[in-house]
Amino acid sequence: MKLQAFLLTTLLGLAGASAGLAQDDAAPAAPTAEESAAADSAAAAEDAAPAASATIRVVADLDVDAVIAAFNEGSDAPRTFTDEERSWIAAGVAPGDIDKAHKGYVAIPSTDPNVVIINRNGKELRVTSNAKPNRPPVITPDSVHMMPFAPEVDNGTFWMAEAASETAKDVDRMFNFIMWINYIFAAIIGGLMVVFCVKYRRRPGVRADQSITHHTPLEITWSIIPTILCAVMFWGGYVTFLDLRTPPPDSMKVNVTAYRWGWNFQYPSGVESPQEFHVPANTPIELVMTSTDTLHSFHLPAYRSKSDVLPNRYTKIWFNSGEPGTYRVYCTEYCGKDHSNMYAKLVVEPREDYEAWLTKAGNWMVDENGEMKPLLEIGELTYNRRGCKSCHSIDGTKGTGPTFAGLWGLERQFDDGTSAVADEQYINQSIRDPYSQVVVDANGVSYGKQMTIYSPMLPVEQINGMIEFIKSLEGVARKD
Amino acid sequence: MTQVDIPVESPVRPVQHLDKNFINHSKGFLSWALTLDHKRIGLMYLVGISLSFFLGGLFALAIRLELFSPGMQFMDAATYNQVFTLHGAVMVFLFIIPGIPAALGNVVLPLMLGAKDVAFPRLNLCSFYLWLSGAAFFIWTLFSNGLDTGWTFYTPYSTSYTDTSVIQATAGVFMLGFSSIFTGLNFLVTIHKMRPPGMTWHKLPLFLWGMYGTAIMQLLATPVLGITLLLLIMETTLGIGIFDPQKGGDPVLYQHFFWFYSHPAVYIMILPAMAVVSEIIAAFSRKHIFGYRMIAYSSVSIALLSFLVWGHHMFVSSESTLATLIFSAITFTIAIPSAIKVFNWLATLYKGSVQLDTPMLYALGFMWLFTIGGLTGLFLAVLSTDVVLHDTYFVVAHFHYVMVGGTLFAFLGGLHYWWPKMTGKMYSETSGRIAAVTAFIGFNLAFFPQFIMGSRGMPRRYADYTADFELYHRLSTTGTLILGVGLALLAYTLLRSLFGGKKAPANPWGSATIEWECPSPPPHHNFDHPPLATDPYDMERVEWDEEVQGYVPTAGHRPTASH
Repeated sequence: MKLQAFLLTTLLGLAGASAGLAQDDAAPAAPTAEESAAADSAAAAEDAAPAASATIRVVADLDVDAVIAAFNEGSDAPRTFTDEERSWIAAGVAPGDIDKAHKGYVAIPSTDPNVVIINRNGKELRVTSNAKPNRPPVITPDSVHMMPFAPEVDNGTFWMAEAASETAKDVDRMFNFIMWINYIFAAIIGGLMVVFCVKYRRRPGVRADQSITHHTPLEITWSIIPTILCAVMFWGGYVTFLDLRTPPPDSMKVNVTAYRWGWNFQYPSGVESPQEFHVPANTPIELVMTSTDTLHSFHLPAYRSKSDVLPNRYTKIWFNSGEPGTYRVYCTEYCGKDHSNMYAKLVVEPREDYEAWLTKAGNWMVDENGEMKPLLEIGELTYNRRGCKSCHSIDGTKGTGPTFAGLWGLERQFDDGTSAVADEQYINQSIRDPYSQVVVDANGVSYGKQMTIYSPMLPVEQINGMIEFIKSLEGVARKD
Repeated sequence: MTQVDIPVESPVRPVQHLDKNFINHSKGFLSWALTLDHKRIGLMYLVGISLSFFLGGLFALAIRLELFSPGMQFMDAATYNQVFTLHGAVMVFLFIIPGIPAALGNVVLPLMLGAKDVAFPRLNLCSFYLWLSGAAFFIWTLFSNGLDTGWTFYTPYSTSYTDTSVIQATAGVFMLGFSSIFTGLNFLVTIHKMRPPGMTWHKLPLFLWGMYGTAIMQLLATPVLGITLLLLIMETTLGIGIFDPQKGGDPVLYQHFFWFYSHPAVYIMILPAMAVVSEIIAAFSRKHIFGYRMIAYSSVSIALLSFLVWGHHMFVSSESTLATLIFSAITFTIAIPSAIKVFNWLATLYKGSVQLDTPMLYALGFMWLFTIGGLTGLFLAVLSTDVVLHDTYFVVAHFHYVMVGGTLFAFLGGLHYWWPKMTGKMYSETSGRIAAVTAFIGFNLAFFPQFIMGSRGMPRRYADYTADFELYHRLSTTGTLILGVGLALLAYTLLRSLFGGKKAPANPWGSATIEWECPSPPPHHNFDHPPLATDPYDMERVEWDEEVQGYVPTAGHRPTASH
């Protein structure tokens, strides 16, 4: 929606807006395209054709009653499950995870291995890894990265999510100490305020005591006590801050590159992994971070750690990975349109699993037999992994950048007045040096210098893959 | 129809109303547009900033409705980014910064000094027109490409990556900055040179001490913003390469420049609020303010210390450990004068004669909300906890408690407090009180849940969120709607008083400062003779008079020597 249109509608009818909201709430059955796309974090989109056929999986030989009996064993209040919940258990969801499944934190497997079902607010979303119709979907590491967020969600205290490392627990102690100071001072100030307002309320014939204008010892006392508390807080905060910022010398180094809108993790061996960040358990990890475009900020709530990520500069943080688990990474420095979708998933796993994953991640262009995958598949994987899809659609709709649908062979108009045909060289140059040829849209408005420069990041196989991928979309209709 | 000069001992009541006052003194559009009268300029400012507040409030409402549920409701992410940016920019630059000084201060400050006008009336009018031009640039921004950089205009996003109207918006802010400088300059000179006989620095009402501190900051900090924004415009148009990393510039340099102004600006917003609250608490307790000197000195020390803490906005922006250490330490020093003020207000209530009229409800609301805002600021001054909370909803909640719970509530308190003086009308006390309590409840419901979701990891400036934050967002949206109802009732109360309100007496609340000695509303020239200043908190100086339904000078009262 254009801002002007939005302004006008708001000015014209605030009531209309709130009525619309109530409607949203009451009738959640008809999600808009935007809504579901955003709900799935733009990483996976609804896919009408294959998803419709996918129903909840039934695991052969799984005795649902036995699973429930095992779950209820030893419990004072045995739980009964509805038919719907029983069907989820039959699909392999643990009975203990049913509540999370109701909230949409746990996905339900379907008959199609590439489709999972998410139950959100009572409505079922079928999520595939691939938004493109009429092609077999491809599972990519980042395609379903919203789902495994369950572990930290329901744990922790009222104020803080669960802390995942010792340093994080130190920060929490500091937080709790300040919180107690807050409670005490708020109680004193708020309590006295109420007491004074009631006790000394205005009554006929009673005058205020004008003799109280100042009291030097009292005033000095209430200046010095906060000063001492502040000094304690300052020092405690500084010491824990040094812990957060000083990595042990033997820590494992991972390079992090932030771009709009995603994260790329590069391991010491050179293996790269976009969006998905695996680390071995109980290992100190040092992150050396930089950005290819605007400011970003790497926020790891579970480890109480954060640092801005800047272009042309390296920033470092570290954390001790602790026990296996799955955690969120957010971008917390505003970076434009999809700032709120710039998640990554941190997976802490036993060292063997990590090493197996690393081998697989390093060989993503190779199939099980050790053969190079077809260029088209490499292209599609690249499209999904490298953040191309957050700006360039493949269903013909216009995004932050022009769509890839029907692009091949098209005459492209640039904002400097020149033009070119979309061929191999055009695509290659657009990826490596995008600002040398900025395209205008159907109305002649330039798309602007939005694109990440992939020049050092994308090896030639992947560029060739992208070319094949865009070629394969030649017949799809453009809607811009 | 002139005011009668009354000796203190005289039993004759002072003039309460005048047929000819500054509002009907002359007629016609030009008599307002070209006026040099500080009161008229103040009223025009009041109308302007109220409209800006309404606009900013619409954006706030849109944000909260959008965030009622996960997923996108009625905007896309790009629109959301524009809406939160414009909410922040409009509220900060058009409403909060000029709010108390330009609207209330313009009316009240010369009256409090018993002066005829500010020192430079033409500069004052110029300041208003600069504000108007800045506002016009914002409207232009709205109706061209909008703005989606966040109100902070951080580079390199604002220079290289956005296609919205950054230049119009920053040019607008540049003008608003000069408007602010002119107001500050005017107030500084007026307070220095135009105090009435008897008003020594230690008999200056605390409102004026607050304005004085504010004026220092406006005068010294705002030019830095002007230079920074000019550099930003030059970066965008000429590509000078000072902030753009692709040309060898440094985006963090921009942050330093920006916060070198914008941290003092935080105190430009809150110091006048504290100043208003000091007046209201004393007046409605009918008691001498407690610890006058400490409150006055704390205003000035806040003004000076505010220049030394800007680096705490960059604790996680690659600032060196040494710099974070220093900035964290200095940040704590500024917490002390703020705490002292709160304790002094509390002590003023002690053994007072407390009347919970509408302005007092806002002032007490301010005390509680500012206390929470200040205390939660400690988490952000402590280095390790700031790392967790930086750029999350915890920060959003913290600065809304200070800016809205603090400045807005004080502004509304001051507006109700001086409303009879400005307009000559009394509003309905009942509906005023209901509005105040509703706004207080709504505000807490809107922003307290944001502390919890922030410390649990919810980042700020997110158009969408995961389902586990839904409860907090829903509470927050509900609170916003309640706050909106309270503010709507407030607007209705005040507007209705203009048409159906009772005539206000000269001194309805029993305050002892000089502005209550002239009739309500004041005549064009304020006072016939320069009044004699005594202790501004000698509340026994005035007593209730049944006939005028207000306070009149106590017969035979001898000023007490204060301190």
